[in-house]
Amino acid sequence: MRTVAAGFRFQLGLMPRNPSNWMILAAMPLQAVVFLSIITYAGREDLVGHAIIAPGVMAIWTMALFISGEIITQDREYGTLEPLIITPARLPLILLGRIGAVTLLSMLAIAESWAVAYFGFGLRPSLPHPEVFVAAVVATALAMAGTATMLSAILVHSRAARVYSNSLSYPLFLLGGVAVPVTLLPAWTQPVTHGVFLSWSTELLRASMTPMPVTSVPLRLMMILLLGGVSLAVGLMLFHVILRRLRSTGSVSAQ
Amino acid sequence: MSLDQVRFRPAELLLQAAQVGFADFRAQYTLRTWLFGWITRVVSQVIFFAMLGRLIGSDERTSFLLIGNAVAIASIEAFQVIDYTASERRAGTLPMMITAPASPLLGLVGRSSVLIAAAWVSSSLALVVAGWFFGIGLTPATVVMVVPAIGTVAFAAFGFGLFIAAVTVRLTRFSSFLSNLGYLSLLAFCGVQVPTDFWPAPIQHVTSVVPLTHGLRGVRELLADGPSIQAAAHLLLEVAVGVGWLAVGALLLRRHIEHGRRAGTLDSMA
Repeated sequence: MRTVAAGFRFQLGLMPRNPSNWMILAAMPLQAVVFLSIITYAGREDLVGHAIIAPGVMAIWTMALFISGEIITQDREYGTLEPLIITPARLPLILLGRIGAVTLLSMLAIAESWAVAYFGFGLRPSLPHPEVFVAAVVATALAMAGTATMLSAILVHSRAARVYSNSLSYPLFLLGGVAVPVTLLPAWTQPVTHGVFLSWSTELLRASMTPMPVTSVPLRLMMILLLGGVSLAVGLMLFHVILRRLRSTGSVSAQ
Repeated sequence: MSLDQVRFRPAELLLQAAQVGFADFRAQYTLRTWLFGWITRVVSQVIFFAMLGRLIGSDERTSFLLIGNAVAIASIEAFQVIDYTASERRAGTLPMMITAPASPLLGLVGRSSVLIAAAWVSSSLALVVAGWFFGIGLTPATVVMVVPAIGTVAFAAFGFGLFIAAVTVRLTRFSSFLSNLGYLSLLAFCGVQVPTDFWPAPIQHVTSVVPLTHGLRGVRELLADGPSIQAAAHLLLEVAVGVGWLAVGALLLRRHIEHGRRAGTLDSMA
């Protein structure tokens, strides 16, 4: 646990020093304006939950991909991966701490989005189920950290994966029901959407912002955590394989 | 014959630089990664925003969002000129281009001009494929009419991107951020998601002199009513906006280059 905490503290100290770490949060209000203007112009202020959650979740995902996903690749480029590997602390635990810090900060995106709706558009989003909202945010953060671990491993493993991972965002936002419920997508996509943790997260987050009772909360939270847990397990397993190979081939710092 | 006496034809230089730019682009993407990576992304992006029209329950909004976001794709890709220019500085190729006897401005513009073509193709493909997804089939005649109009947006966004690149040439660490900020501003205020008159007058004044606003209006008019003088006027205005920003950007870049030469700071970065 101390190792995870050390990774967490290190990343928190590192983030303000590099503009690429905060630029997603800095550009986030404009993304919120895009969604909020669409629903306001259409006179559908009842959809404010969609317009707040969508840009927030998009920013969280983008930070997971571009900051958490690049941690090991950057350490490798800076030459700091070797000393990390030879220290007695386990690298995956340091990584988990660092990814945890990025994920926690990325949650600010939802608060930013809410602030733009409130101050920029004069909307007054309600939160009839705050306990569900908080639980969904926490579960989403944990699942995102698990997914970021997997992404980080995949990005270290394959250069080609980077080209595709950059392109993955919008297909995933569609299948994750980030702005629009997945039920509006064609029927053939439905089975796929159930395997994307974001589809469970966004539905639950939006449901917590409507006055109707929220059903099956434990099951939905469990699905978010389960899918995030599977990603975490895959990520850790991949790291184990990758690190063993890098050590045995002596190519830890090779580009 | 000394290097000073070497004469370059601007068109030839632009063409050669464009060929180098195309080679760089091919190093970045293969046909497979471009089609299954980039094009899948841009088509998904257009569908993603157009789906909001479905959520609202209006075919008119769906169509508005689809056209707006498809045409806006031209500006995302053309805006990469900001990052391209910054990367010339990061890679250390900018001082070499400046010390060469040919015009560094033409070299820079030519090398990144591949982005105009790429933006043009991506945006046109996004419009056709996303249109098909929503059952808004474009006839071949409509495509022939609309594709050149999208080209004006790609060109104008490139010109504006070059201006931002010139303003921020010393701030290479922020190039991606500024590129994103510029693109998101266009996406928010230039009539992509909602008509421009939704925004307060000061914002409308600003959007009337930046890319996308007029070009997108021209495309919408072409799709709604076919060729008209009004549509042509909008597209000409878009081209004028592009030429204006390109000229200002080129002048600024020249100033930076001259200043960098005198101060010996061409290869220093922030």
